[in-house]
Amino acid sequence: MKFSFNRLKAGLAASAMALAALAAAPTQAQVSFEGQTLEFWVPFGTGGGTDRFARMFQPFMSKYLPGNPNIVILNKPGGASITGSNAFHVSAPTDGTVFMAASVSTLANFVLGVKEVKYDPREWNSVIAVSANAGFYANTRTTGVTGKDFDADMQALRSKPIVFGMQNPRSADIRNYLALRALDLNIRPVLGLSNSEQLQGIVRGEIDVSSDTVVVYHQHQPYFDDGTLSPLFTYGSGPDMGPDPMLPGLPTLLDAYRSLNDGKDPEGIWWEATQAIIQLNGSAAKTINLPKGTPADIVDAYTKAVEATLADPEFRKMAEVELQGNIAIGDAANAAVASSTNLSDEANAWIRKILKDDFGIN
Amino acid sequence: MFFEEMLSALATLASPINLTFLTLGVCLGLVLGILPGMGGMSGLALTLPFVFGMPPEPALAILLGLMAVTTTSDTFPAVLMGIPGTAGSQATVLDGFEMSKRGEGARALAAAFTASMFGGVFGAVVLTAAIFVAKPIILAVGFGEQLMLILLAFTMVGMMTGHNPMRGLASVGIGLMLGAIGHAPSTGVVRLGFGTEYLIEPLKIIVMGLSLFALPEIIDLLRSRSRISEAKLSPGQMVQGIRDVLSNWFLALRCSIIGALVGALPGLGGTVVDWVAYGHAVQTTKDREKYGTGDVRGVVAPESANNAKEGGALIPTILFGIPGSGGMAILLGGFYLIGITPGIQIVTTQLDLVYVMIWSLALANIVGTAICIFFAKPISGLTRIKYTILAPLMIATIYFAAFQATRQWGDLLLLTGLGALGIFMKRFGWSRPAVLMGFILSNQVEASVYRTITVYGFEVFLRPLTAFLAVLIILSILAAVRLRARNSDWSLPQFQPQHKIPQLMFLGLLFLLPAGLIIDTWNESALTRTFPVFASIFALIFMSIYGAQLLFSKEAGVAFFDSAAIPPDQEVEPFTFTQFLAWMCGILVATALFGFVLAIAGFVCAFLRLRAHLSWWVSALSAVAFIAFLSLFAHFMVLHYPTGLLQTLVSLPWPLN
Repeated sequence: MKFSFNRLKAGLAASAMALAALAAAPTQAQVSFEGQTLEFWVPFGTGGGTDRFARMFQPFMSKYLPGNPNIVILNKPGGASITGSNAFHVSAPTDGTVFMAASVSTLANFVLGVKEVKYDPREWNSVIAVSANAGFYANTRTTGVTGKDFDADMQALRSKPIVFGMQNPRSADIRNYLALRALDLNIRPVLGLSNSEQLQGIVRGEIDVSSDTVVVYHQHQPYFDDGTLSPLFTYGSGPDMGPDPMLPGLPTLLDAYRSLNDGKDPEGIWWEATQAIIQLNGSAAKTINLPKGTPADIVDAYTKAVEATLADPEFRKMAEVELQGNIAIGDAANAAVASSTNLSDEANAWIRKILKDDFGIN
Repeated sequence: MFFEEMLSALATLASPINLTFLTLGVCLGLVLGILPGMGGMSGLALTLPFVFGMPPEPALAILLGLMAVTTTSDTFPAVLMGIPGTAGSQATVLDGFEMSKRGEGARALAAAFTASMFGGVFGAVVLTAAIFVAKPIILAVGFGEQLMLILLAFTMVGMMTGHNPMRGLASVGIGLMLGAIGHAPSTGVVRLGFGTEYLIEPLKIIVMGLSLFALPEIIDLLRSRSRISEAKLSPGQMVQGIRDVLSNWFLALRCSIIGALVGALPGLGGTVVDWVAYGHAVQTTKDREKYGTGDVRGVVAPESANNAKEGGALIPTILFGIPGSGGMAILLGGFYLIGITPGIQIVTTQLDLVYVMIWSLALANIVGTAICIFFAKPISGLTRIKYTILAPLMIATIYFAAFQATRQWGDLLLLTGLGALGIFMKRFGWSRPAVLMGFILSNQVEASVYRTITVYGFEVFLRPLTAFLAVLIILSILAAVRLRARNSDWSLPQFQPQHKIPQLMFLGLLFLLPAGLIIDTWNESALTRTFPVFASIFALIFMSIYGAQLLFSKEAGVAFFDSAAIPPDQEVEPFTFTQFLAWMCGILVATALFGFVLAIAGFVCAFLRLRAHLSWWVSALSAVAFIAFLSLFAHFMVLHYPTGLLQTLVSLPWPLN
């Protein structure tokens, strides 16, 4: 009922394309959106990170998709992106007239088994996936971390209870908890704190350790300079979680683990699960997706448009500030989404157990 | 450097486009201030959808412009008709209306506008000073102090609980419970969501404000038979009014300070500030027996205070994200919308925008006052529009604005459901400001108690500022008790209600909410369960006590209260509460059948014809105009209205599809 308008349009578009296909050479069905209006769904309200992400792409997708279609952003907020994503999964037409931006919350809701979720992001055709690299820092005064001697800093962290803030454990935010848990620190998480409240808390010394994405991390430079805060380590970059070029010179989470465990690497189901959750942000924090079952030539047209967008000098100027992360396109984007959402049953069971044991969430 | 930034913000604001938006906001605010019952909060809720996607500067200009002046123009109905335009001008009526009856309406208006401007600009100065020392304030006010501020706000809510304290506290409880619906702030587990997507997120403050305040107030308009005093607005009297403020400048200053202080304390909001200032004026000036008989000082005092409060109220909103009133809560939502996050970064990285806010506030007060003084005559004409004509347009706009909250069916259902709640609360004397404050503070208090205990435990009271605030809380409770004892005779029901059954039924239905919350969260972890269960028990206690009072009260009074009662000699029923509810449900049913656009148009047309007795032609034309308005926004804001059964059967042309 709600989407009859779309269906009508989809029907028209389909017949138009059928006509176009008849007219074109039989071997090569050209994809063209000429004269059409495409809907770019954002399952969040206006003004948020995913909305900004989508609006950054909007004019360029219009410029580089074949036929220069008109593209409108349609915000479908609600249920931490579940409302829009469910609708997208269940009823979006597969003719390329509807595509959707998604954030890490969209994937996390799926991975963490939120019961209202009716979508499976692994079935979507992701055309681009951007990571949100991030790093940890500490309050210098309360933790004794100085940012000068890494091993000493890690010992200092382990020697006392660590208060740290997070939003809610049933979100992508849980990566922060899992990362510190991997280091076997004595953590006291304070739930329900927004990023802004976390920052104020750590500056006041009420919170000991906090984490932020690269863009925000760089904004804290004045606090690093005056010694209020000290940098700790990054999550690492890419699937192997190596040094992060966007936070150069900082050790990684793996370095931290090795420092505390006589140089050994982490292994086991718990690490597999932890790594997957970290990879949610580490590879697919923001994505642009076409519905499941979209024909390959349309997916291809979108992939090419995204490639052209990323090469556009005007876009690159914006992206330098807003898109600080690793970018995967086409098949690589699908792989990025899959790698962070495809958990083994054991890893999945482990995460549910953590949610239940540590946070009492069934 | 400080002044440099301030001046550059002024330069930003002074661009033609920003000034246009500021003036637009001011004009909207002036109109909304005049319409009794609308005011700043409803105005912001109506405006918020339109600032989606705007750059922050013009958005701030329009929002603050609107908010700043509703307490300037609310003087028109207060002085000319004896009806306060917003809660902030209740005290103005006492002397202002008397002056007007004496033929000094213009003098009262001019004095009120000048005092308003003075207070408003003073509020902006206070806000500037607070921003100047913001960093140390933010560093000193930690989790523990924030909790104390929120608890302090709760004790202040005690002052606005209406004339029956038990019913008032039950209202707070209902607000707390409504705030507990949706995902728990610390675990993300959904409470009382009935498995729907819509209720995963907490109820939207915009829908709350529109349904609890804007909709029920319209009933008042429809029931009222306005008694307008034909004012002679002579220029000589206007000048006299301005002089009055100048010669009472010290009183205006003191009341502005009171206004800014009361505004800065979260929880009080606009409902008491005018009374506090009026009381102060009576207590501290000579020949006090003149008050209430048309003394201009009785106009200057509340009017300077109610405009000064906005500057004060912005302080906790900007620095801590703790909104002190419904209007501030909606404004805070607007801040997030345009990318402004309250807290320490606002004074480090977004200081320019804070100055834009301050200048907007100051300029809006000046522009608003100028407009009111120079166009007093035409504006006062606004108070003469027939409400039956205005009401359907206002209702339609409210439905449209509520739908902007998340653009789902749920918004419309929630608006109707909570609207019914608000209407019956109004009818039976429940305190809707208390519900709203309970709602606003619920998430804050839940998160705040938990984080304070996690970080500090009971050691929190060793922090000097926390201990000081704790003492303040105790004092505030004592003050609330004393104030109540003194003012217990405010606005008792005018007429004897006949039946007790409707109230008992309403109360019975309300019991479903705590019962549902407790059952729904019983099996969840302590983090998810503790707050809703606490809120439910709190509400149950006071609802039960009130229920007993109601049951055993033989005569109408503060407990047995029904404002739907009419004088026995009145033969024709005015617009009844049930009729109003029927119209609202009608819109909902029509939307399900014919889609939103047709339903709203049909409603406007039918209401204008049947209630305002306009001709079919005019009614239909107004409906078509409203369709044009809706389509325009659908086009520019890219939104699809809910469709109905009709649209699934027949394909209709845009915008009816």
